Amino acid sequence: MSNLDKEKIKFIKKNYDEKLAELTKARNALISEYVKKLEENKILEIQNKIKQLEK
Amino acid sequence: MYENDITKQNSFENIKSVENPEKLEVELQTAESMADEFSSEIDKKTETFTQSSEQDIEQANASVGLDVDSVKMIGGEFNLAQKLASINFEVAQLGKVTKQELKTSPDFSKSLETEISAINNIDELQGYIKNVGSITASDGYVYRANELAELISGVKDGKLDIRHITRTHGLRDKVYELISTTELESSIAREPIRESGNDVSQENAPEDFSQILTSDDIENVLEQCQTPEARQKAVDLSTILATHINADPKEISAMTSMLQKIDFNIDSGKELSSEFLTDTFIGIENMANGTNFDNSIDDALKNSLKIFEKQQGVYYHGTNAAAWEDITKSGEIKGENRGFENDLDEISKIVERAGYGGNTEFLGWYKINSSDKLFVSGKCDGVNGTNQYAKNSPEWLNVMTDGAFSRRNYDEAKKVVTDKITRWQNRNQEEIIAGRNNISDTEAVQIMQTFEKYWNKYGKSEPVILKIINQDEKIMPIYALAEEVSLYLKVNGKNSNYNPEDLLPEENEQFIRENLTPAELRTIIKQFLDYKRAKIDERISNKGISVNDIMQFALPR
Repeated sequence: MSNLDKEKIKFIKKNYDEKLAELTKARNALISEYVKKLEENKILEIQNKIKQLEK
Repeated sequence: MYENDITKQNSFENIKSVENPEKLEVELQTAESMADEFSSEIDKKTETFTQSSEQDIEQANASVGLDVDSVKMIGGEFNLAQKLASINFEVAQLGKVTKQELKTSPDFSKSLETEISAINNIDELQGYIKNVGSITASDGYVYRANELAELISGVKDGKLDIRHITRTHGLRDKVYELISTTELESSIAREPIRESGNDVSQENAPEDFSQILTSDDIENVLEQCQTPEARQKAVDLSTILATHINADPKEISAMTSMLQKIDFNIDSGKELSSEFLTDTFIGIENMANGTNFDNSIDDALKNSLKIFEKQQGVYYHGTNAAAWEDITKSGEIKGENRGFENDLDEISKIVERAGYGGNTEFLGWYKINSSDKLFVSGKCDGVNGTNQYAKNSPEWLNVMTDGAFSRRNYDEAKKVVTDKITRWQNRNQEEIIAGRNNISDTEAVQIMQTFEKYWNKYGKSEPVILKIINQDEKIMPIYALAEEVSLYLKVNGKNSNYNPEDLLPEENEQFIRENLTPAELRTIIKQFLDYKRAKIDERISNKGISVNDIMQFALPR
């Protein structure tokens, strides 16, 4: 009985950990995407400024 | 052979019979503390996850050397805070659902049982149950407080059998104790007396016994049916009888005669009642043994023992011929690898990305079905009966095809899957904003290929019903019958001192001959069948059952 219950808890935990890992992964991917966009925009902005200065 | 059986038993009431209660206490506490620890871990993880959003945004900004105002200016269209909040919400929900799952785990039954055991009267018990709100039985069924209150009142007023009360948390024992007079025993729970060997296994059956349901005799009975309902009822009853009888030509012939007498076109919509089954089982025994149940207590006792022998410790599991072949090849009743898990995990990821409200809507319960739990039922017929499960097996393929699989209709199934995929490839703007993304062409092909692959395997696979004999639950038929007799006498206020365990088998037989009538034995068989048939969708561990304890029956289409 108790062994079976421990197994059940392990099963629930395994499911939770898997889903949390997926959500963590999705979260990290979002942050990376955001940083990437910022960098792209920053470069763009700097390029614009350089263009303006050149004028 | 039964020496180590006690360690295999898995129902809650058996805890009480473990010889070393101190050891058990330690084990239970460990399981409970494991659940508690995990529950706090969930809280901490949820908190950490949700609280770190602002910091992460600041860090991300800092990493490219920007302050908040600059970000607003150049990165405004990508609202990270909003996107993170949505994920945070999902994490919080996941934690909430997981904690709920833990709460329904039987580990928490220990504290409930202690509290229930301290209750002194029925009113107090009713009040306690109302406070608790619901009780989850060992088979997973959730009893609402109102339902339990009605059942307890029914038993108290003598309208219901005590077995309507779940044994979970010692509730049945407590109800029995509270409504019994002092001369009655305080508990009806007894340690089963083990029978030595004498298994009804596949080895004892003739080779073609499993095909009895697809025989010409049964086909003739089915041909008389004029409507699908009548046919279904005939299949249901044939299945019940085929899985009840022994592999004996006299019993097979008696079964066929009984079936031929019935016109299934009359009352075809009605579910099979236990009264009807009791009559049919008794009729088969009378025919096969040349006995007369109603006119002789000797015959009634003899036939009752045969019926108990056949029904005890028996459950049913619905599956399909291809899965059964896997089982016989591997020798494992249930495993974590049935061959489709990897493919379905892949599909599951695609479906989740497409935001299709949880993959169970597309893939059913394939993860649970492929765990080490076996779904069994005490009845073959009806909506929740094993017959239906067998036709739908594998359940995930039936869910994927919206039921077309159970009809083995390939064209219809393919259309359903194609339609679903088409929808997921053509999301409208609102759906896309809501996080329901379009799936790619490659993903669509992957889903179709998986469908085709498993249709090839299961599409031609016949539904099969497995009769499972759980040896852990088998006791000598005379003690099984005597326990029911004892219960019947107590509940009806006839003899409260009869304790079958104190008597030898022949003494119990003598007691029954002297104190009961054939009509009463008929009632006892009916009550036993009622109880057994009410056991629906119980999950049992596969550990106590070997492949040798299973007989298979191919169902007619």
